[in-house]
Amino acid sequence: MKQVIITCMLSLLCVTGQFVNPGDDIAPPNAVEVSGTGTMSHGFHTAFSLRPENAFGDTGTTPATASAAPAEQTTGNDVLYRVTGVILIIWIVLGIYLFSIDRKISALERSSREP
Amino acid sequence: MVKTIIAHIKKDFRIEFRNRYAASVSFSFAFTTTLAISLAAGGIPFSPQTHAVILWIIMFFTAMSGLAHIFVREEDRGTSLFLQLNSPPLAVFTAKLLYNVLLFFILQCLILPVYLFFMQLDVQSPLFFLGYVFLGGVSLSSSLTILAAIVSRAGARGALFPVISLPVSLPVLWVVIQGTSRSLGRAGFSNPGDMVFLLAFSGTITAVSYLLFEFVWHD
Amino acid sequence: MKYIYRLVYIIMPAAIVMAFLYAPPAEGLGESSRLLYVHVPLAWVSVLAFSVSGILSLLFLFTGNGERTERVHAARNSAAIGLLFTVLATFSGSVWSKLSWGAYWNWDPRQTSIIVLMLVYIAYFSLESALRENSSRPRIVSAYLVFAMVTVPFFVFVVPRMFPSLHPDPIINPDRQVHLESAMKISLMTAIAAFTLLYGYLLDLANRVTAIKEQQKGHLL
Repeated sequence: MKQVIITCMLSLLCVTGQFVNPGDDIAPPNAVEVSGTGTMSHGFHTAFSLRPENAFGDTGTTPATASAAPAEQTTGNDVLYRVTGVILIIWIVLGIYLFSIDRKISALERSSREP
Repeated sequence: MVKTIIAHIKKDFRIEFRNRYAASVSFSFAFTTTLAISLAAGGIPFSPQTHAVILWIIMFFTAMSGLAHIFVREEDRGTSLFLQLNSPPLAVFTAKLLYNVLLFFILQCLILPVYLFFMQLDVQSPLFFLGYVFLGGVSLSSSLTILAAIVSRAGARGALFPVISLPVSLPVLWVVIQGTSRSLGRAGFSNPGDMVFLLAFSGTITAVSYLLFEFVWHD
Repeated sequence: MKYIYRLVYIIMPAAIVMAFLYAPPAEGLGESSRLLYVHVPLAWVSVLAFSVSGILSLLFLFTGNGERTERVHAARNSAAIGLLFTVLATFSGSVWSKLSWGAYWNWDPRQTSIIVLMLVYIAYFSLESALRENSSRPRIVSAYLVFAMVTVPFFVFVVPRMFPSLHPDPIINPDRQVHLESAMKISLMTAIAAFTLLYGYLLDLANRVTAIKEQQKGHLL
């Protein structure tokens, strides 16, 4: 059980670590808006507009940054593929561990049922 | 049943005023804490919100030091088995619940003037302020009585009672602190909705306590 | 029943792929909105685990003459898993809070309710360990859990409605509807299903281990 807990926490750290330190790889919000991404209701937008504007270190769209937007979006997508890959690997390891525990428990149950 | 309940309450108060253990410890705690805060503040005026927070922290920990005693005393003196055999659980619980509510009410009547005097509190809406304080006291004492019964069966009671009481008391504390700060800060403040919440909470918790007490009380 | 839980091996990877590659990022929040597909299922499972513990404790107290001790063990296992998910939900929520609202902790009513849930779990385990020598332990801890189960809805549902919250309207709103785009809604529902199955699977494993331990204890006696 301890290993399960540690693995879950590590996987969560990996996921959230990608967001807390985005660096230059994650696309800034306005570049994402340009490509017409999903929207949430006005209430959500209003509530979350309380966050500081330069949360991602972005100071707004300029002609220079607008032309760099498609390249940044491609880089953003690469990061997403990498994050997905890392988390899938973590899940596969966790899944193999859970499956091995399941099999051991089944073996113990069979042996306890035998006279 | 009513006679049994009244007899138990009289007995508990008689024992309590013979040695005054719970009342004196609780009041001393509240008194020394108020003095310490007043001394440390050195006359600096607090906002109504700060006053509300400090007052209710004092009230909460006063409850922690005094309200478990009614069941702990029975276990320590070995009289709980006699009570289990002698009286129906509903009568025992009702008596203990009313005792705790009355005791905490008396303690609040003693603590409040001390706090108002030493902290120089200026109350803008006195009626609602008193309403929040006493209704909050009723809610706290009614929710903590069954926890006192639970903790009397365990070891490390002194430390355990606040640990198991805090999650249950937090809804009450949240509402009364907000209400108390508004009644302190605003003249003509009126919000009966909070009072209704406190009454509803007390009622629900008391009803559930009645259902569960038998499982806690009997071996 | 355990074969249903094994669907988690398929649904969890699907949820991960949908969360990061299928669902679009939210307007205004950008990619950090993908924490929605982790934080909300974790919070949901922590409340579910608590409810399951409470219901099992209720069943133990009011049915079976107090002899069905496997329910107490199952309640304890559910509480242990619930505590883990509550800690993870608090952690993921605080990271998202830092990104959205600028601070790790704001004492928002929803944040406060998850901390209260954690306090209840901690109190439950403290009480259980303090009653280790007491033969009435199953009944007393079950009574505490039922009592706490009654108070938590006040904190999770009533008090946040009385005070303003920073939590977003699409998830928590008076209509009790999820106001999200369809791709995001599907991804969220898949993530919730995956985490629920994970909880069920962990609970099933824990219960089976406890049953084996009890059986061996019975053999020794």
